[in-house]
Amino acid sequence: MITLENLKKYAGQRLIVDIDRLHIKEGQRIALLGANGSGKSTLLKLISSVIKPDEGQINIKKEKPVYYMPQQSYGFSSGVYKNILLALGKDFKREERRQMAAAALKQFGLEGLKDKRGDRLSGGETQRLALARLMAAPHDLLLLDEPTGAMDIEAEKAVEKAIVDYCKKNSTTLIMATHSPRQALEIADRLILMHEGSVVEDTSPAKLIESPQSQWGKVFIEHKKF
Amino acid sequence: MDAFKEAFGLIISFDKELYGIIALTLKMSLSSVLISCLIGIPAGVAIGSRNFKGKGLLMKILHTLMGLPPVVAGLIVFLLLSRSGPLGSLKLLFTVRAMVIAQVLLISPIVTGLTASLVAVKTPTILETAAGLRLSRPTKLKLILSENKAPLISVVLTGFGRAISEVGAISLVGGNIQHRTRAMTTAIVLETGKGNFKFAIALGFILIIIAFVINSIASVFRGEGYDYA
Repeated sequence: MITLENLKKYAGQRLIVDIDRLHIKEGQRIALLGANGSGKSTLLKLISSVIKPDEGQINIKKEKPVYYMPQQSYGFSSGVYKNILLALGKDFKREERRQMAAAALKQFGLEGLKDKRGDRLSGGETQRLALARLMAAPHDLLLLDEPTGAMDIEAEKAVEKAIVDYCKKNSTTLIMATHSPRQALEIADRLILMHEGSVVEDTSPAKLIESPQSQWGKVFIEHKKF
Repeated sequence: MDAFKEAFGLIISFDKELYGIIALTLKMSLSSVLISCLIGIPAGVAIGSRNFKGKGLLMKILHTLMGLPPVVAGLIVFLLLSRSGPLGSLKLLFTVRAMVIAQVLLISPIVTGLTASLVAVKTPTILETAAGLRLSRPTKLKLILSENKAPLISVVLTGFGRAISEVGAISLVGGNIQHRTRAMTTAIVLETGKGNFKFAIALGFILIIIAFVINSIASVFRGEGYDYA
């Protein structure tokens, strides 16, 4: 689905992403783990073409469209429901769009906020809106950057289930940056641990948790609570 | 106190000269602001919504031009439009058009600089979100303008405030000619100098009323009155 080759991105003189080769198969659910500044968000921005690499290539099968939720999503000032309709664009018939938007509102617990302005929501509500906008329609490739960082644990768990169900139903390839090994275990079938822009561990969730191979894998797992 | 009474009398009697000056001032100010916004808002959005090489220097130049003294702007336009100047053949000196040109020179950098600074606050996040949703380019542009509606209205108001209150540039290139280029501010200066306070007070009072009405209309468009629910 996606192949990264000799990918490099600099911030001034500092190398912030440095990946020799990484292949992601269709339908995989990948959790990108790593400390702040490890390059997770930059990697997602590179794959989504929000920023361009300084060196290397990103090849996406059949140039499938990449849908991406940034770490700081913006709720547009129109109502929550209209935000979702906007994201659905003109690809669907009017009635179909309404049904899809209503289903997304329900799935992410936004029915009560349907008419509230998107730019006047709390952090957790904005994240739920961002997910509802993105996941109202089926997509092949989804990139999420810490999508539950501002949510309470109850909302977080509901969203995790919604993400897994969505990916299974639509055979969506998912790459999600997260700080939480618990969340990674809940959602992903492959874990990639990044440190200083490089991949230091690329394995199954069970293997990373039970027997991390790299020094950073051990440090990360030890310091994170489950 | 008598001067105030007489000023009020001029207003309610629809004094022809007074209202002629007001009409000319509004025509000049609205034209200047419209042209300045047509130049400055797209330029400000283009500068403020992205990072590029030389942006820092461009912003410094803009900030310098934002503080351009009106008499200097007036002098530049005067020299350009004077009979021996490069644009002398257009015969625009001492016309309302010349006053508008001088004001556009003053106001465009203000509109551009303020738009660039204000748009830079939200726009990178708006653009990143819109890119993630794969929204079209026209939709992105529409979102930049609609999501920055309140600050952009403030920019237009600032431009209008500058236009309607300006004296130096328009008196230099307009000449303060009765019935032709006399604006409210230049008339206030002239009438105060002559000791004709009632006319000056009436004009000053109407200037304040105009500012209040325009701000009230703008606050409706800005969507003020926040929903705290």
